Amino acid sequence: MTSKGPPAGEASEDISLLIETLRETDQRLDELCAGQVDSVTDRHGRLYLLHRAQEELRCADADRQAAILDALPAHILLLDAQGLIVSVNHAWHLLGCSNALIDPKYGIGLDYPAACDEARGDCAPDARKVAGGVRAVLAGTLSRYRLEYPCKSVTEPMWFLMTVTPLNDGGRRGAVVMHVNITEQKREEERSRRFDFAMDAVADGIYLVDRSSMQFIHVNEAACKMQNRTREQLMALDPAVILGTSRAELERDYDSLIAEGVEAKPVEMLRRRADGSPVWFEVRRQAQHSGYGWTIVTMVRDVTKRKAATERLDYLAYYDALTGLANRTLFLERVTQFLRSPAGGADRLALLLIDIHRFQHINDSLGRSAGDALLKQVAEWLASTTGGTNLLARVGADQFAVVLPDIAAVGDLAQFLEKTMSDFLDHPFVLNGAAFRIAARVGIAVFPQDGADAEVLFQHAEAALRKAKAGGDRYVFYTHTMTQAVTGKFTLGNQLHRALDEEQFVLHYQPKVNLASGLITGAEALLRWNDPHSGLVPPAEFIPILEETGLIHEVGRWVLRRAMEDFLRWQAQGLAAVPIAVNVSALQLHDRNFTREIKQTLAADPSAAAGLELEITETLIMEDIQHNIGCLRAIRAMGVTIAIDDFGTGFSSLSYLAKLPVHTLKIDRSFITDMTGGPQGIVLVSTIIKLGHSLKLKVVAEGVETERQSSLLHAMKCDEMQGFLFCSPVSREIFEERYLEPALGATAPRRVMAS
Amino acid sequence: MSQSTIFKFRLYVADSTQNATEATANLRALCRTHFAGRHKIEIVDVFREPTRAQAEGVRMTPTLIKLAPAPVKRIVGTLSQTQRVLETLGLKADTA
Repeated sequence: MTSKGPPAGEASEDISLLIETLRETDQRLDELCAGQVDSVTDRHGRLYLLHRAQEELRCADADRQAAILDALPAHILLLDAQGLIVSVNHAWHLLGCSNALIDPKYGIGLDYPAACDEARGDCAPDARKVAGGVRAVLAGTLSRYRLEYPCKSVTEPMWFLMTVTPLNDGGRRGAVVMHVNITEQKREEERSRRFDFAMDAVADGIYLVDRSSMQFIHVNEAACKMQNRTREQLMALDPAVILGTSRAELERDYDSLIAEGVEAKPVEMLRRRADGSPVWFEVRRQAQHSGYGWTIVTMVRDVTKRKAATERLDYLAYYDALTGLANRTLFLERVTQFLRSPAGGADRLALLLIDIHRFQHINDSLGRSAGDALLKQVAEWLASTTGGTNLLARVGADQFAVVLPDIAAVGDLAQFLEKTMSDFLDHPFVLNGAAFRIAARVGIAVFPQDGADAEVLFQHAEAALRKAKAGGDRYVFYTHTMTQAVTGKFTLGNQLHRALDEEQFVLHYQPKVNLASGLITGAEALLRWNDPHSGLVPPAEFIPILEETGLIHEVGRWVLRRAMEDFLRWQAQGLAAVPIAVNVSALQLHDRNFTREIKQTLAADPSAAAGLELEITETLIMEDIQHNIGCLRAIRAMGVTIAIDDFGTGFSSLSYLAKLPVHTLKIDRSFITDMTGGPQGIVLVSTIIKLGHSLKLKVVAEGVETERQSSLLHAMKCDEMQGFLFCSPVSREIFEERYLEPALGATAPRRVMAS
Repeated sequence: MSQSTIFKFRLYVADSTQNATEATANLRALCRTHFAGRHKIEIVDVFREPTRAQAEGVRMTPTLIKLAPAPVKRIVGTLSQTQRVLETLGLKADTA
């Protein structure tokens, strides 16, 4: 055949016939198979579908697609290659809102991108973007186009996600346009954003942990800051690691929390910052059931400041902020404890209230800060003196309290008080750069006689203190009999203090006479107390008290000063002044400041040194010979003469005696008294005189009371003597009048005996 | 026949036509009734795997092949007549 196709008429008939045959064949086959067979293949495996089955398949496919599209909640358009709408789904028709992008009126045949281009109003810019996107997908230049856009509706604002995806249906091109309502999702996102914002605005650290995965679900900003990590870092960490516990432990914790619901109490935890400073956290946890399981919400609050404030309040409730000492409340508690404890209750206990004398005056004149400084220094001094802050308290503006839990342990309470108060008075308190001596008044109550409990003891100590302040006494016991019963020493000590303050001490002088010439060569100064109530008090009654209370230092200084004054005045008055011998006590000699004091006293006048002689007992010198030699040398270097007093009563080492920087030997009165008893006595005195002379010392006999003694001493070449035979100690006025003559040129001192 | 014998079937169908659906349902019902707990069924769509059908000489759908126990037997149709199917496949029906 040369022609390209069969003649139209013949061919069409043939074709009709063939189709008829095929149809019959199909039917026949179907009948044969009783309709139970769908497909048949030839021997080459080529497949034939029986007509009925084919039809069925096609319908099912179309229905299925339509059903699927209609079942979807999204609004769907099918576009052909030109952008004409070829199909819309059910949802499209039911749309409750309308805009340029989804309009229920848009029907099959409409040019969708063109409709978008023509849009007016708010959504016009979005619509034009969409038109471009659709065209790009249809042209194949874009594989997919998507846009989220808002849509105003009558009832509520809505959000849509629009997607355009290419469609290849056989050889035909097109596109599927789908609008999904994402309003709920957007709302959820917004809720989540607000939630995050709120969480981050909270100062507490918040951690959400999923119980099943044991991982963080969420942590807020504060939590990140507390952990000093970024959110990503923190979220990646194991909650157990953050809490410094094990996972198993934490799981157990969480499960009990789930069982209980909410933790009954917040837990406080102490942690350290990176710089080592402590941080207090308050942790609250609760379990919440969410859609998928249990979430553990942990809230962590930094309560360091609150904690510090609470501790400060606790502290202030029991302590004085300025001095750090206990306050009245804590002090009374402590005293109560002492009284209850077997050790404290068994023995006597003393409660002392100490008032700083004229504190208000110090505050007013030196300023509040000086007042505060004084209180602190007094607190320190009391702490060091009473042996710790446990027994101490600041109970008022200028009042301190001390408890002595066991009086027996401090020894004699009176002595303790005298000593302590004297030390206090001596202590220089430095205020504004200058040293101040501060006086104090003390009220004392003693357990058990002054009260059975702390409160009563305190009240009674207060009463005693009031009395001390009113009466000008340095200390007063609550029980009057106690004040008296603390022997004369107490009151005597007080009185002696006052005696010093009020110049009740006086010096009496006993002349020394040269045995050869009968002239007055010197005088021994003797301390007397002229008590306004009882008159002159014998030295033996008060000197020991002065030594016990330490007053001897002050009184000793006074004696030196007064003796010097007298000597210099005699000179100034033109009298034939004689050197004055002053007795030195052990306490004075042992005082490191002694030589300095002498130097200060002598500084008054260049001729002063010549007028002073120090009498030191043999026993005292030999006590600490090494130290004393040094001390005596220093004194002698100042031009002061030194006498060994009461010689013969101690245990002198002859080798030391030779080395001692002394000028005079005073034979003890007992040898002089014994001298007239027999030859042995005379031998002893004679030996001492010879010993003194051989050591180039002047020898003075004390306690000469009879003419016989005087003549014996004269015979033995004793240099000087002193005693009632010539003159008992007399007042300065009498001494001046009787024994000192005007020094007229070479006129000699008055002669008191026949030479 | 031992109660532990596993019955293996392969059913060739064409897509999801009504016949295919019926044959599948009938086979499953039959197995549930007679070989409960001791059968395996494989469904092969000739549209998806035409070469398998050709290789096994399946020329029509639905076709059921009993693979085990031997001997291999086959039957065409929707398997709606249970007794006939059992007989054709050489399986003795357990008369309940």
